[in-house]
Amino acid sequence: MFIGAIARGMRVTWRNMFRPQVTTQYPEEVRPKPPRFHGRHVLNRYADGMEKCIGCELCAGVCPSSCIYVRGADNPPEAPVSPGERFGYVYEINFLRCIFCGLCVEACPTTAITMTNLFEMSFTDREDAIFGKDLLLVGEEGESRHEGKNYDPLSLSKRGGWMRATSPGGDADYEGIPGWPSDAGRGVETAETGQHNLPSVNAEGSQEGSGAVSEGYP
Amino acid sequence: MPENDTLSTVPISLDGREVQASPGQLLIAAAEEAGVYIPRFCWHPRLRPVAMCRMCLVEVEGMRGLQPACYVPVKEGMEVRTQTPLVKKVQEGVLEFLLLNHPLDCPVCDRGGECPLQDHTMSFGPGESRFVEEKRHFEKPVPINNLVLLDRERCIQCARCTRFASDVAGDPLLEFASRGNDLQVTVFPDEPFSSYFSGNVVQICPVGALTSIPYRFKARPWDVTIAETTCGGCAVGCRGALSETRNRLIRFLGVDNDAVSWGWLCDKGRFAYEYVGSENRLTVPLFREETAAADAFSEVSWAEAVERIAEQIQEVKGAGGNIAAIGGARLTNEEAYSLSKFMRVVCGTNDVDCQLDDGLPADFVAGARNRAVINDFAKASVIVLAGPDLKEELPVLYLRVRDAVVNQGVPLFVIGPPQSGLTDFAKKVFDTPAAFDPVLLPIAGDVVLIVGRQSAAQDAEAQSTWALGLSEQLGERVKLLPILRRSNVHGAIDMGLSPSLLPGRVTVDDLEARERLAQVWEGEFPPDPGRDCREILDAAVEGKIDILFVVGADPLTDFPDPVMARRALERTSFVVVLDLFPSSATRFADVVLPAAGWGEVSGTVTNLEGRVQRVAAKVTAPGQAASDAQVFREIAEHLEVDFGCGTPEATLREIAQVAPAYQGVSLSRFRGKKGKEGVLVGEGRVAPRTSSPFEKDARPLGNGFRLHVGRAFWDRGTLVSECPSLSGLRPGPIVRVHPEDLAFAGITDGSSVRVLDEDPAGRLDLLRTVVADERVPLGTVSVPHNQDEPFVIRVGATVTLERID
Repeated sequence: MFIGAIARGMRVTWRNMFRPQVTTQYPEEVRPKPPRFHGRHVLNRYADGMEKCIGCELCAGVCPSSCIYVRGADNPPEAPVSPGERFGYVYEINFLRCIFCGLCVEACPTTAITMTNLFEMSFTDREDAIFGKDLLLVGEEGESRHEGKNYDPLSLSKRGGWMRATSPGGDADYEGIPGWPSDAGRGVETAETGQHNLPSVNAEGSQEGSGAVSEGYP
Repeated sequence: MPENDTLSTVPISLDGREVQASPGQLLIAAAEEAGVYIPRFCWHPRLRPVAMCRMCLVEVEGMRGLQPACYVPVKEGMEVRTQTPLVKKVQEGVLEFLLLNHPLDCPVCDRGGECPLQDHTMSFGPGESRFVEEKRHFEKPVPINNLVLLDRERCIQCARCTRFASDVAGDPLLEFASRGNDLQVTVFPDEPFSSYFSGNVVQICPVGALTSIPYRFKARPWDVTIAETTCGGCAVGCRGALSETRNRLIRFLGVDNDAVSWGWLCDKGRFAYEYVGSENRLTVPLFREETAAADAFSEVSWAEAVERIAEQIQEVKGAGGNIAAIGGARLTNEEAYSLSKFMRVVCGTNDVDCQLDDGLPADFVAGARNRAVINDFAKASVIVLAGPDLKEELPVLYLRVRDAVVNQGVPLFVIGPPQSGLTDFAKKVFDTPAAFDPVLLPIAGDVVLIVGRQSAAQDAEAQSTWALGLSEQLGERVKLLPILRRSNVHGAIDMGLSPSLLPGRVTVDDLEARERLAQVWEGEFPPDPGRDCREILDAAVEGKIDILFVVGADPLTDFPDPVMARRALERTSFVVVLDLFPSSATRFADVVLPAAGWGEVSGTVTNLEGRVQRVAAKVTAPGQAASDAQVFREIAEHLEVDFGCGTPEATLREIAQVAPAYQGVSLSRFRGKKGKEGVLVGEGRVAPRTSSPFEKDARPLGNGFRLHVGRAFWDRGTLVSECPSLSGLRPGPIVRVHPEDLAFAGITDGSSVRVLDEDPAGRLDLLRTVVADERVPLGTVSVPHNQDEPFVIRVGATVTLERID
């Protein structure tokens, strides 16, 4: 009589045994990340190697968890770090505090800070959770200085030209039109269009169809 | 302008609402008082209106077109509309126009985040620009002096800076050049904006066209916390807002108050915050080891330092020795009161003096009757200035006197040696008080008499008796303003840091005051006046002083006879120095205690009018540095004296209780709109001293020149030397002489001379570079103080100039 009860109880198990498997064998297997994945930040460079960060502290100002500490300084005239007068000479993010909301990316006027699909950060020390410019700033080839498994350094080389989905002024006519010049940096992603299905102009100046999502994500 | 006749108001219609406004008042100010904000860039309440930016255009019924609200005075029955679609459209148009050439480099601009142009664009602007062409370009940024950078791309040509420079500061060194699209603010070729007030143009610039070099890229507005405080640079007591980030002071901005500073600051006051965070600050108590050689200090704990000082005091008191204190003008009122109480109650002496024989007699300062305040200047019938060069010593007071003279037309008489700033506006300049004749004064109206020590070589007694003589002769018409230089020296005198005075402007023999003190102070002190600074040092040279407290003062630099001061410190067996920095006095100290200073202690200070204002603590003192009040209390408590005064608030309550002139001063009176203007203290009970009017001028003997030793704005003062941005600005070792005197002596401008005291006992022997200056009276040699090694200054000295070939 209890055999019937066991069979009833095992019904769920038996049913799912023949369904497709959803578990991935992380870390051996890695699932692709969505294009707007909020992973850890990088600080980008222009194609000529100049840093994009100008030390304006807008990211620090907007950060809801106050995890960013930036200080600006005068660019040395003989060897400028970034174009213009000012560069970020201290840039630190405390990843124990960061909530990966992406407001810093939204606020950045030069797309210096963008988010990547990197998420494998583990620390054994609170000090190690504070990433300085040595870790955040991309290398000369645009590669992230990230250590971890399943990491292709050049997979991030197109994250330099992040695009707002809406225009800075909130005017729908300006949606999808890049607000920065076409030489804005190494590896510019295709602009995303916003709610309107308007033809968008990407950073290289070529016309793209509506709703285009860039390729090349792992 | 701020002075308006508020007694009679007329009704006007503002956006359909009836409001009261004073006739003649500018519409923009009247609207603001009624709660309607009209956007503006060029209009500033303390500057003359020019209606240049066109941002404040409003509709006025019956007047054609739109009218600039900053240029239209209020008239009865006026109908004004500030919110109509037309006005909105014009505001958008003006902003779009102003932004045509604005580079929008807000992220790297120091103004970003607190920029009126940003704010107005967000509130009144069009949102998107139609301008796609290339913007105008200029070289950026260009330094216009050692403290200010000019970025012409950002400029919106509001003319605030040029109006400030020419109308307020009187240094017309900033002007517009070119026309049309090329219009730009500029300095004259090869001539920097060398003004003592240059930082103000940074503050009033409505965009980031003028930025300050010391603050450049230090922080953004959202990094800082701000506290309102009073400047500690000189005795004027300008209000300001102190910005702090990560426990460092990074900026000081003027705050408008009608009574004192009108929002202006001098560059020393504005940028001298840098010393607070200097690495050279004293951070631990130091004790000289008895066996070791000079300069061998060892670090001790506070507890040990307090114990050893207390033991020393007990020993000296037991043996009937003498204890004295000099200095204390740097302290807040509360700290000065603690020192005053400590010396009297614990040490049982009246030998305290906050002046280093370089000011005026304390009873003259504290006992002045019918005192003037700064706001009396503009209402006076005449201003008589018998004081130091205000521009060099009390710069914002200079701005207020200049405003009264230039903008309000009050005649000014200047008595005494060179006035770099005010001589040009004076109706008449007299070389000496004896040359001045009161017959020249207008027959009616108030006479504001500003009296200060003009030169360290001048007889302060004679100066004060002359001033009292003049005020006796003219009677009630005279409003007297005695002025001293150091930051809170007026407060220190009021707190009894003077051999003849007790807290609250009363003399030490005042029975009523002593009775009141006896209820609060447990301890006996003599009813006779003690020694002043010169007498203390004299006694010390003779070995009669056993313990000398030197509190935030450097007698080796500021006392007129540095040689004697040095000998006095050497001969005193136990010298305790409380200071922020190692100075020449700390070299002769037995104990050096690190003190907390401006920006680190809260309390109140009293300015030269007798106006009590609050100072705020914004950062913590470095290392183990502690407030002077805490040090005195701990020593007292170690000697088992119930000292009280545990917090600045408790001390202020005790001051209000025992000090007659400070009765009713309490923290609650500094709150609210009225509290912003501070609290004027009452008159004390110091008997007016006897006067001897118009004594004969002591003409120089022989061929000698009269020696004049005045202060220069930038000098080798400890605090300024610790500011990286300011330390290089002093004029250096010069001597100023009238060109005719130079021609007569056969000395060329710019050559080196020896300045020698005619009296061989005078020991004055200086090597200086000559600068010809027509403002120096004939027969006078003017040597700025503290530009080089200190030198001996004899009162009434006459000197000769010796050419060096």
